[in-house]
Amino acid sequence: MQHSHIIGTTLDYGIIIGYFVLVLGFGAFFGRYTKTTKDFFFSGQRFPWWLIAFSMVATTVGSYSFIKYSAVAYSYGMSSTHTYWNDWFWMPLFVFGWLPILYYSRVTSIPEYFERRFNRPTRLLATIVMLLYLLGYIGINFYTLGVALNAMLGWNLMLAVVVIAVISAIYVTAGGQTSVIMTDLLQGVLLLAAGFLLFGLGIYYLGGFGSFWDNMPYRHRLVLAYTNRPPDFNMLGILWQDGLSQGAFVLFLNQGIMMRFLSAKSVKDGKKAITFVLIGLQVVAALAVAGAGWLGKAMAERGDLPVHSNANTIFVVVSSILCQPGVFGLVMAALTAALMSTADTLINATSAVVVNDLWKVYVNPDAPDRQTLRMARIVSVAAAGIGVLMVPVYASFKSIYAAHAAFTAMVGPPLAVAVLLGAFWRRFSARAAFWTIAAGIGAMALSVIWPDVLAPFAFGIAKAGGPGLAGHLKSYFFVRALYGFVICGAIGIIVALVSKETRTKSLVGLVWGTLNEARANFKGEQPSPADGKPAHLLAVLLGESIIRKGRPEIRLPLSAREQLHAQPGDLLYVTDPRWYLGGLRSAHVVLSERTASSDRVELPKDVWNLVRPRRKNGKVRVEKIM
Amino acid sequence: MWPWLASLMAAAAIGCSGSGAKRSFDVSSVTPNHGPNYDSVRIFIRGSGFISLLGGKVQLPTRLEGTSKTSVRLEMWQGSSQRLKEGFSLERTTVLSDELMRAEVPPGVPPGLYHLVFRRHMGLEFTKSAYRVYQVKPNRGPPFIREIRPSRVIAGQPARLSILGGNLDDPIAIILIGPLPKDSKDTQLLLQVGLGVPWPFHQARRVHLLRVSEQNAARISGTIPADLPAGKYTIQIQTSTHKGQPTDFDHLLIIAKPPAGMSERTEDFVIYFVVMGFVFLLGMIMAYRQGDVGLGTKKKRFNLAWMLAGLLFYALLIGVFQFWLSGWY
Repeated sequence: MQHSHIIGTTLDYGIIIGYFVLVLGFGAFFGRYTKTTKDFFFSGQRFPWWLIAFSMVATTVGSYSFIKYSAVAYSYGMSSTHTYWNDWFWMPLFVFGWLPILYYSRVTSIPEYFERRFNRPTRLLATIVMLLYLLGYIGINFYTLGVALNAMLGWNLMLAVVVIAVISAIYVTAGGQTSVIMTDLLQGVLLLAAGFLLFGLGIYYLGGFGSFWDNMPYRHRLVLAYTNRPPDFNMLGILWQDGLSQGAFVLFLNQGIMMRFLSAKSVKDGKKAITFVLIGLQVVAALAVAGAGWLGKAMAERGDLPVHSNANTIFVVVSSILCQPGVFGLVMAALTAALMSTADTLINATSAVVVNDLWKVYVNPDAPDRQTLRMARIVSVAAAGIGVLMVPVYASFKSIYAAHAAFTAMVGPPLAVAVLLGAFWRRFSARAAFWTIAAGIGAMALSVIWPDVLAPFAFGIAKAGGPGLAGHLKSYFFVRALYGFVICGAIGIIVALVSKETRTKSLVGLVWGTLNEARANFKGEQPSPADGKPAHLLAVLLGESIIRKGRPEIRLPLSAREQLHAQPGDLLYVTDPRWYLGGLRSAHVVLSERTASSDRVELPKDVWNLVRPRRKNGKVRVEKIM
Repeated sequence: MWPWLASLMAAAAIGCSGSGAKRSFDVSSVTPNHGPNYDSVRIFIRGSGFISLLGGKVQLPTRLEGTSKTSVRLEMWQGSSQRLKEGFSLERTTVLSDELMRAEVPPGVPPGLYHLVFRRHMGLEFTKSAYRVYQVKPNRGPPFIREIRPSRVIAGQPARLSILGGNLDDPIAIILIGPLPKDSKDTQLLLQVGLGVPWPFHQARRVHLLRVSEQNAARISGTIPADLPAGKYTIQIQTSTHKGQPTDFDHLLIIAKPPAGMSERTEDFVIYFVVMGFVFLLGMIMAYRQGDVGLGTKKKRFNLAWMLAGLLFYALLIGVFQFWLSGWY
């Protein structure tokens, strides 16, 4: 009798269940740091760049990513990374424009930006579109994970979905954005580690990187291949769809991503986070999620698998071949991590949109913060519940997928064009924004009903597709993004130029070119440009707070002021000096005109309670923000 | 991103068909569907319902060893159902997915046409005439090539190839090796040191001939992959009786370069950076006008360097794969 490994063993199940318990405990633990709606949605804006960066990666890698990108990698090779490597080109617009606009204008949601920049009808339109997108997306994430667990472990689909949904809902409801970020840190590390482990095992299995690369066909080695063929995956199509449309949507319109950056302790940390994501984590994440597909192709070329294996199951096949007991459990845990880290962000984002753009606007504008927080938690539970309820619908009617995919493809370009023109062109008016979205969605819908309108934008890409809505959606699919950008851009520019709208409100802080004023508004006075070095000082309790410009005052000795290059009125950040706490114990404060005695920082009681200096040496770290 | 998701979901919906419902079991093909009996032969079994086939007793995916612990034995049987006891078990049976299994036909099996039988605790599942075992004399001579038709094709286009020679029946692999070094001395050196020398000491890649349709002792036909780069290629034929025979350098396949012009991979690279570079440039111009980047102050210079460093990083990252590693065999 031959002995061989068995995957899906008790050890694997133990790892998966242990992981669930860990995430639940981890997420619930951080619920203690959530006391206000600002904490619930933006974690009190306290986190450093590295925490934001790791959690961002976990959010952008969804439950379908491993299976989907492995399938693409198996079929088309290295060009599966193309989707992940486009975002740097948006960096100047994002870090010097959009990120400061969001942060300094203190908007709580993308639809709120639409009202402040344009008007309330535009906000309502954006709110409806955003909610449909978010709720549909939660359901898709739940469903794809349920299908994966059903296929790989034989779990009942609905049971798997309900378990995952309950765990996600519990910790999101308890801790809001803080729990989301903390668990996503854990999940991001896990999914990257599992992806690399699988890739490493595959390289070992194939006999080294040389053997792996030798067995990759030429087409599979190109990151950009080929220009306009095949119709369902080509360089131009990915460029329009992912480089242009999806890149703009993710960075400028994704409510979850926006909330993540607003959780950073400063704009500077937000900039560091996005840089680290795009230069480091995004690059390796592409490898982690697609590695199984490349390995599968090399195995097939070498003869270890049939040459024409089913791409959609290649992740399962490769995992089955490579994983020993325990490792398989780790891969399964990574798959669930990918889901939960995306679903939790979507749940929190849905809550933010419902509470900030519907409940506080139309139902109870004067609600106290405590009541708003309770409503945010209720909506979180409801969002998870709706996501679960959509799973059987997705399972029963395949056209629902097509409808959601069509919807997303239709709303992406109009919203992206509206927000880009709104943020970077002062002349772009409320009327132009409304018509860009409304008529743009209409033009996109026309392209689904009558795909031939996309032909002039095809650049030789074949029509493909077939009859019916699902078939029309696939016709010139990738071309639709370019068509959307051109048509929506034309509508927006023409309406903005011909309409004579009298502007009644200030655009300070809402459009490019007004950010110096926005910074001053955020701080309450002109920012002081000089950067100093952080100071580590002994903390002493001052007493009751003196609030200045909405923030508590602290006192510093003159030596520390010089080290920080800080003047009275400057915005500072006080935190526990242990870096690994990730700013959990921290507060934003204002420097008092009065000085403290040497080597001590005097903290008022409420700041003291947030920072909780250690009893042993009682030191805190003080940084200048602006 | 969305069409992939749609296709995944469509596939998932087909694969799921409800919440944990029993799937129908089916075998659609066995590859290869024939083999010699003097050595073990690895086969792939395609179909559906392989996971649900195993029922709930064994955690999945798993290997079936044909022991009493499993509820299912994968076996091969010769002849009709009346002669079921004359079958034998496949070895190293592995369920790779719900649609794919891998197994080995053991050596020493009598020649003949065999049914593939899944023995389940509830009964048997048959795929009739699924595999033929034949007798091959191990001492037969190595395969040799007399002629390759055509001997010259154009790169970037799939082409049908016929290999004429002897002892060509029972091939388990027909491999194109190349592009070979241009200098004949280098080719001879490559021949001397052998093609087993690992990457990166040689740059000859190995690709299988596709859609092999005509096989007998004197002739093999198949399709050359369209994406092979130009150069000289040699062909290695492995039969079940002679694995890894020396490559024949007397008969070469020449893949000629297509008409001159910028290569497609270069065009793609240029188009990509022109389009996305426009987005980048637009942002940089606006950042310059706002006073965030420039050469005037240390902060502006830092921002400029930071943005350009990222751009350079991605240009290098994509360029390395597009131009350097893609051609490194």
